Amino acid sequence: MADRAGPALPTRDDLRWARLARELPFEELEAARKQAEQWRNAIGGLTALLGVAALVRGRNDLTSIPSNWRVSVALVLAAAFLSLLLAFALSAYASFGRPGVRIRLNGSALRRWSGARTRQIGRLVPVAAAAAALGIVLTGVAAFLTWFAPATAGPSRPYAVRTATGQQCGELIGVDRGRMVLRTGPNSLWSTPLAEVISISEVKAC
Amino acid sequence: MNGHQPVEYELVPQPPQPSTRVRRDDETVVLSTCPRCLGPMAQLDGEAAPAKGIRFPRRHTAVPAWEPDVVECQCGLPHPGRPENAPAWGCGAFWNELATGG
Repeated sequence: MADRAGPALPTRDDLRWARLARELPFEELEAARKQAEQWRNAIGGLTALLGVAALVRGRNDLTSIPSNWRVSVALVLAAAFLSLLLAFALSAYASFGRPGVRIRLNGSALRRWSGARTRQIGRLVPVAAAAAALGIVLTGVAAFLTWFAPATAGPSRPYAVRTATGQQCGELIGVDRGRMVLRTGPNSLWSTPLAEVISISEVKAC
Repeated sequence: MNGHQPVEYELVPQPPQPSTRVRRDDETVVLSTCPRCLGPMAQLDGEAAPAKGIRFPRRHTAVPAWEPDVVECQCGLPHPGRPENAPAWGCGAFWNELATGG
């Protein structure tokens, strides 16, 4: 013989919780389907997070910045991505909950679950918001780093220029008043009229 | 019907009443008698997924073997004045369960 019972007379609120609990079996399939749908949409949205990398468009080619800057950008970007991922996971968890949870068909159980869930959402949402803000700031920092990183002086490939009188090799400086100019040494330039150039080809070394 | 009183529908709390739980296949059925209209009642007990489930904190989601609940008359017999949209088909009496095992 059980000896547990609630207070002598239940209130109308107690009755309302009990009614809500008894309705659960009639709604659980639809609720489970809705929950699955919400998770599906959330997982789809997750891929949008990958677009965060596209925000860092300061330079199209990150290899043109010095390696220490490049590593810094990568680390900041990774931290930004993790922050946004955390924000996403926490907000999804707060919003949709975890599938597969069951409670007793009982007003008290439903009331306890509802209270715990409300408190949990209250805890999760501020953390998710803070993580999202941190992720956005870090993304901005990464973009800032790529915009203001000094450009590396890329090694220029030498060119071989063949003319009617012979061949010359050096760093291509440009064309000036109809003459092609090559740097053939630290302090020496060579030029020839464009009209005399037979071919120009990139070479590995002079 | 055995001793059933077709009293007027009214939401009135009643003192705790005993219920009996019996197993039927893989379900538990709660048997009781309404103290107001004396109508016999049988309703399913069990567990279900809340609308948005979450297993946190764990102590709140452990499904207990049994826990007293509020029972509402569901005798299924006619009671004058019962609103069309009343969620329970009974006389409107409700009470705390005083279970007798299960």
